[in-house]
Amino acid sequence: MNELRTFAPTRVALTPRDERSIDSMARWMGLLGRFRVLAGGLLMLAVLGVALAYATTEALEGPAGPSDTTPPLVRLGALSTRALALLGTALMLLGGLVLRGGVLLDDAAEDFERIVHGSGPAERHLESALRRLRAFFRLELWLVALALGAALTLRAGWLR
Amino acid sequence: MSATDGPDHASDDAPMAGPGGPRPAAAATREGPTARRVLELVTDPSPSVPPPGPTHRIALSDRGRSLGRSLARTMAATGLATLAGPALLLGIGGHLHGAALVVGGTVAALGGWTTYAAWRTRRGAYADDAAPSFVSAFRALRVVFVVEAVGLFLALALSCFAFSIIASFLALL
Repeated sequence: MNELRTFAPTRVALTPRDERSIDSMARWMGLLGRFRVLAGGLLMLAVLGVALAYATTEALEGPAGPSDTTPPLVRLGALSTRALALLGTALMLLGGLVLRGGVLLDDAAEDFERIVHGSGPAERHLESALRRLRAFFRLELWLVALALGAALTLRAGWLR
Repeated sequence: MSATDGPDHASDDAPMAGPGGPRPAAAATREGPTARRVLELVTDPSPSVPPPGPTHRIALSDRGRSLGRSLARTMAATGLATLAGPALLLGIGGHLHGAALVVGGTVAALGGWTTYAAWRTRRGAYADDAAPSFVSAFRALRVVFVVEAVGLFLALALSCFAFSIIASFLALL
């Protein structure tokens, strides 16, 4: 088996049915990539907007004095500005990871489409697609680990 | 055969002038053996035409193989983590209801499909002909991408809806 691995060239012989499968996968991959770019960009924009609105309101109103009798519309409870900044940074990071994953997926989908439509050297496109897919799944692994860690921390906090 | 047999006999006689002799010019302009011969050359299957079968043959280099193995490892880690996530969060054997059941089941199924795709990719990276395993892995990945795309679309639509509701409430205040 080892001799086969070392000396026999691995080949990928695609029939028209295989090409259709890969083409379909590439189209869905590209669609998911665009959705991810949209979701990541929207999340980052929303965090930036909230941070900008918060900073502008704080700068215009200043600290609340003892003469203020109107109760605030929204109470943030025990949340400090630092905790909010941390939350905003984490959400920005999450948005950036989702956006980068979307870009990688879209690029990998283009590589797969080039393989199927036969434009350029297929070997290079296949390697490039595999590399981008690997980078995407590495990012996905980070996201899953972060989500699991956050969820387990919250769950432990609730159980306490 | 006499000279009074008619034009048909004259055309039949023309190719028989001799193998090395000059061909009469009238034979090329009529429906004769020359036209038939050209047609035969076009329709005759040449041995250089490849038999029907695979349309793409891609030779995967050692670099490509190692990329495939590495991709399979990463996919397997992601798939197993995704598979174990709902069980870890909600408790193994715990009772699930409603939305938690749907979301947890979907996430676990996605993890399972990703793990299957990783296994097929690994088989392809070690095989002599990688196409069947790779295509099977890509089909499994397509399922994952379809479900993720639909879920993400629903999440985006719900977020936009919630944002518009909150914005209209804030505008009223």
